[in-house]
Amino acid sequence: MHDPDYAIETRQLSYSYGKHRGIDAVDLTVAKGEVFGFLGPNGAGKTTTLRLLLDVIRPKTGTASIFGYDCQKEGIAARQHVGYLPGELALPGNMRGRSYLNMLDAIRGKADADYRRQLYGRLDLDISRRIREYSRGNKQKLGLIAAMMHKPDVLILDEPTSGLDPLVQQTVLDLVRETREEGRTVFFSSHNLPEVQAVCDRAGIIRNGRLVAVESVNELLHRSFHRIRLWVREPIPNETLLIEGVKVLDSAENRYTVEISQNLDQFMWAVAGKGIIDIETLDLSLEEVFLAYYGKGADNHV
Amino acid sequence: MFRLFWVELVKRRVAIFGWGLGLAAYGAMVTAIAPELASQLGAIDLQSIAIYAAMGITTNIDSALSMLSMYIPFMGLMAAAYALIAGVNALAGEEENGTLENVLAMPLRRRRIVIAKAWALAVAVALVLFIAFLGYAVAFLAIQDQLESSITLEKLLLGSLEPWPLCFAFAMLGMLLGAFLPRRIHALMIGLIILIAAYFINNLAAISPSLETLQPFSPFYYYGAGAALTDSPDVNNILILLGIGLGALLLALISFQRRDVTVGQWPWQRRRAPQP
Repeated sequence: MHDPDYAIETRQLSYSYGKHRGIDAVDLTVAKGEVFGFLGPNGAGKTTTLRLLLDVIRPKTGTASIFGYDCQKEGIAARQHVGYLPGELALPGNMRGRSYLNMLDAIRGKADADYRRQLYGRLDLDISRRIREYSRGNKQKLGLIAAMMHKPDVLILDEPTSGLDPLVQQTVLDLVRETREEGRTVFFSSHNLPEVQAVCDRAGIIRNGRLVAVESVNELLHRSFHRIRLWVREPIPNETLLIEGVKVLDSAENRYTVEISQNLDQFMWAVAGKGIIDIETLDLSLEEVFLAYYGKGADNHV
Repeated sequence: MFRLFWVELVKRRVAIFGWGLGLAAYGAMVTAIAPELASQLGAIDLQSIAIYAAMGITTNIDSALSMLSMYIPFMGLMAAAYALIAGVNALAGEEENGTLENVLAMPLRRRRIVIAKAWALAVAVALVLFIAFLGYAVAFLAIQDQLESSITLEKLLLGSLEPWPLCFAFAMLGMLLGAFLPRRIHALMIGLIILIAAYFINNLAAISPSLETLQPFSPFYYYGAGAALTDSPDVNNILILLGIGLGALLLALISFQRRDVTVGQWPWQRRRAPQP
């Protein structure tokens, strides 16, 4: 019996695509009112997990539940609580944005009209146009409105900021924060670590179909490292950069690329007197972060 | 259920009007040329020409009525093709373009989704045929004085709606293939092969007695093929076609209930999932 205290719970949830791996024995709990980040590189099993939660596909073994309702046996009750944005969003191109939202209203019941208006205002979407005329970003906005407009208890978002410009991405992250403030739950699947760090309370990392870690985001931040590129007026002597936790990846004339896992303040003091012209923080791929956390033996880390 | 049905029907409005108007144009043309063409073809013994038999023409043309009786069956073939394609697209097409995932994520039972789609398809086909009838009706009213008195609007309406049970059977067959096979293109190819084979087996049996044993397996065997213009509808044949359709729908329900959507596997590749 699943615990209704959890918004989402999976036990030994497994799925395979014939001979190909899907997910393997995923045990996961998401508390009510939590924003849970679900991190993993492309093909790791994020979308498979979400589709199992929504009963689009059925598990080979194991179970999944939403608010204590088995996603398969009590799928209707479970999905009553859910708003879903698929990662591979497909919308009927010949419909107008408004008609599409009205259609969803007609099928699942009337959404909060004020909130719906607020959503397309904040996301700056013209819903009078035909969907086929929308850019990719506008389609994503429409998908977000469709998922959120009913104010579901659990919002399942698969790569929600994909295709959106940075300003709209911030709006989406704000909406996710507001959802949490209202006591509702968000399951936030992404391969983008910074946005998960920005909004999530905890995050699970899935890799090769296995859930290899579940951490609080504070813990992720604590264990994170930075990659910085800086341009200086004077060359930095090698011995200046011999600081524990600082690794020089590349240096050419007055440009340095360094990876800093600890002693950031010491590094900054060391280079401060060299006439810093510019500093750029480089994004890390999830795989790099993952390997930095768990090393090559990561597959065995649970 | 009604909301879902309505949404499904509204989604098909462009196809309904497109196919309906296309068939209406065909109907208007056939009706308009019927008197003149009948007088020209009257001298030819069509029954003795094998190719005509293969196309399902088994009587000679000696009147506008027989001319219409000859051409209305082609509308049945075309409408059945629409029904099959729409049936395939209802599940396999939407699965492949990704829109079905959005519907499945809503709190709806799969069987309700399939039944709503089937209901919408049945009504969509009826609307296509009714719009087609309007084409016949317009031409009929324009040249009524050149036609025999046995041709009436009522008869034309029955003749236009006569293919509906056949279309229903093919629409449900399309849904079944879409629910059973991994990809839309497989379902469409197999469905069209069945449609064409069924059509020719039924027609060629008229000139090749060895095919007569296969004839009852063709849904076209139970299709009146213009008989509604002269006789009252054969209720038994209508019931058989409805039975074929309902049987296919039942199998589509079972298949869709069991399958993993978005995965696109052949039935033997799918492992059996525990049923809710």
